[in-house]
Order: sequence, then structure tokens, then C-alpha cells
Amino acid sequence: MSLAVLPALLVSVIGLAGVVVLALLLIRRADPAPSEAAEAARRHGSVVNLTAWLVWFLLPGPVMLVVAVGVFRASVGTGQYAGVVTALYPATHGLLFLTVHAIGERTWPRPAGPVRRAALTPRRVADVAPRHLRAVSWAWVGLLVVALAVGGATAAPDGRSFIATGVGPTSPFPGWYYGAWLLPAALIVLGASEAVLRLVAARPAIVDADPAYDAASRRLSAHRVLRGPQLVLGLTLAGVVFVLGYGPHHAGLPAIGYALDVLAIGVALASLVLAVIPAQPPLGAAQPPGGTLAALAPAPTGSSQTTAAADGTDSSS
Amino acid sequence: MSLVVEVDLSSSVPPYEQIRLQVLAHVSAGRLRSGDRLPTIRALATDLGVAAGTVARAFSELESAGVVVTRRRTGTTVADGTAGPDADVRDAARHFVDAARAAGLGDDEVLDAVRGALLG
Repeated sequence: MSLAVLPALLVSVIGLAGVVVLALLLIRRADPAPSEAAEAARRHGSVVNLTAWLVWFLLPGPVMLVVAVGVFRASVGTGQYAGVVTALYPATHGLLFLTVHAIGERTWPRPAGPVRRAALTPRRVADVAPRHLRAVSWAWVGLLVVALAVGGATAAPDGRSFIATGVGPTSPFPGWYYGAWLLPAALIVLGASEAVLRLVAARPAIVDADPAYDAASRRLSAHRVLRGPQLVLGLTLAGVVFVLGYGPHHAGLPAIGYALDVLAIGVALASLVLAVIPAQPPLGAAQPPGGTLAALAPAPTGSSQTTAAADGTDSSS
Repeated sequence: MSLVVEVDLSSSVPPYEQIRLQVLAHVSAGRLRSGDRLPTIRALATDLGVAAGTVARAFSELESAGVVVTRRRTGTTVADGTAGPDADVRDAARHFVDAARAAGLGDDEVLDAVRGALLG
């Protein structure tokens, strides 16, 4: 069983080198931030993003290797759960990736300096999350539910093989033996990504820049957050659809089998492309257009008349 | 101007008062209209890095003045019937500010001019 994880480790190391090179290039090419707090936020966001991808490539391999060895020892001779461990590998990536982003959002630089500026409009997850990536993530989960339901309905009673009339069983097959693990794992990844998006929407503002810059910075973070789970869910779906194709191939229905193969490859490629498309970095001014709003505060002396005239109330309260 | 609130912690004016005045200014200028939602107390306090009680006090005073209402389901919204000065006055104010900025006056000088006019 442990041998099954070694290719994943190899992919991790190769991918890691690519991520480091890409991240260094992107950080070097980034435009200068318009203010001190914006620069601190930009630096923090870049470090979190790089760390999340490092964890993505480095940590799941050893984690799953330990799990796989444990499972192998617990199921010597039966091979039980070996396929489940392999199937849950992408979800492990996703949860570790999201954990790093959650920590990054919780430790986002706090407002500092005497002058703080923020938008006076409510902010929801939908305002910060890129609509297409969020929709694709939900769509991957929806299609995964359909694929697992089809697999569950057509699988043999053991839930892990497919029996065609006149021929013997073929395995693996994504029946409920796998679905009972994969579906909760996918829902947990999706739920965790939504929770991290809430943290992005609720984090402190970049107080010395135009609120438009702050909004763009949140959209950048949300894009970075969503890329990981989107890839996890897409690859999980691709794997399930691909293995689902074993059934038609085995039953002498190659057209359906090949169609499922093509669908699986299409989903995998689409999720990979969406994962590597870079997010738009925030561009904005240090000051919002117009005047300085703090100037609206009454002057130290002789100002009570003005305030009272403005709001009709006693400003001394 | 976008809907922005700005707090200067070094000012002698308490932060809650600065927030209150700026919400009033946005309502007066027509940028905030009846039914418009404001951020939650916690969200605005987190954004500005001030205590939640500071924003709560500003909102509480605005509510007492009938400018905003707070309901459990909808949060804090601009109250019905809240209207700033009529369109002519708003336009005049806009033209005055544009002219003052074109003349190179800063915000404090603009406000001084208004205060002077109010005393006249």
C-alpha cells in the first residue's frame, strides 16, 4: 500500500519546485502597494499563499504515507480500505491548504496608525469571492453527488465492484463503499472553503488605502483560497468518473466507457487550468477620491453650532 | 465620493462622534438613502481597528436621532423618511465644494468658510 503513495510523493516534490519558482517570480513582479498597510497586507497575503502551496505539495504525502502504513498493517492480506485511503488523498491536500489560509486570515495585519478608513457598506462572501470559481466548486460537488449516486446504484452488493452479465466482476468501482467516504470528504472541503471565505470577508480593512484597494485585496485572497478546493473537488470528480467508466468498458459498452473517460479528462484539465490562472492583483490609490472625511469632525472651538445645525441634535452627548 | 468612513484617532473629537458625523454627512449628501444597510457593528469595528463599543455608541446615537433603525433580521439600516436637504441645496453645496477645491482650499478652510457663513 505504501508504494501506492510514492508516485504522489514524487509529484509533490516536482510540483513544489514549480510552485517556489512561480511564487518568487510573481512576488518580484508585483506592483508596489499604495500605502504602508497595503504593503504589509500584500506581503502577508503572498507569504500565506506560498505557504499554502508548500503545504499542499509537502505535507499530504508524509501524512498519507503514515495513514497508509497504518491501514496496511490493520488490513494485512485483505487490502481493505487501501482504495479509500488513495481516494481521500486529494481531500487531504484541500483541508491542509485551507487550514493554512484560515490561519493566514486570522493573523491578518491589524489596523495601525492614527487614521483608519473603511467602506460604509455591508460586505458578504458573495462580494469578495470570484463567482466563477465558487460556482465551479459547487458544480464539481453536485456532479460528484450524481456520479456517486450512479456508481452506488449500479455497483455490486459489496459497493466496490461492478458485475456485468456473463462476465466476472471488475474492481475498483465507485459504489457506496467509496462514496460513503468521498461524499462527506467533498462536503467537508466545500464547507471549509466557504468558512475561509467568510474569514476573508470579515478580516480587518487596509485602513490607509482606498476601500476599493481593500476590496480588490479581498478578492485576490478569495481567489487564492478557492483555487485549492476547486482543484481538489475537480480531481476527485475526475477520478470517480474515470473509475465509473470501468463498468461500461467491462460490460461491453465501450462508447459509454470512452465518453466517461473523456469527461474525466475534461474535468481534470478544466480544474487544473482554473487552478493555475493567476488572480488579478489589487490596483488602487492610497486615498479615496474626494476630501478627507475626518475633516467633518467639528472644530475644537465654536463648533457646537455647526454640529447642531447639521443634525439637529446635541453633539455633546 | 464613495461610501467611506474615516476615523482619526489623534483628533480631539472622539471616534464615535467622527463616525456619527460621517454617517450623517452621507445621509445629508444623499449617498445613503432610506433602507440602505450599514455594516454590522462588529464588522465596522474590525475594519477600523476600534472597539465594538465605539461603533455601537455611534449607531446608538444615530438611532436615537431617528437616522437609522436596527432590527434583528436586517441589521442597521437608514431609517424611512430620512432625507437630507433638497436637491437644490445639495447641488449648491456640491458647486461650492468644487469651486473651493478649484481655488486650492483644503477641507478645513472649506469648513471654516461654511462656519463663517452660518454665523453671518
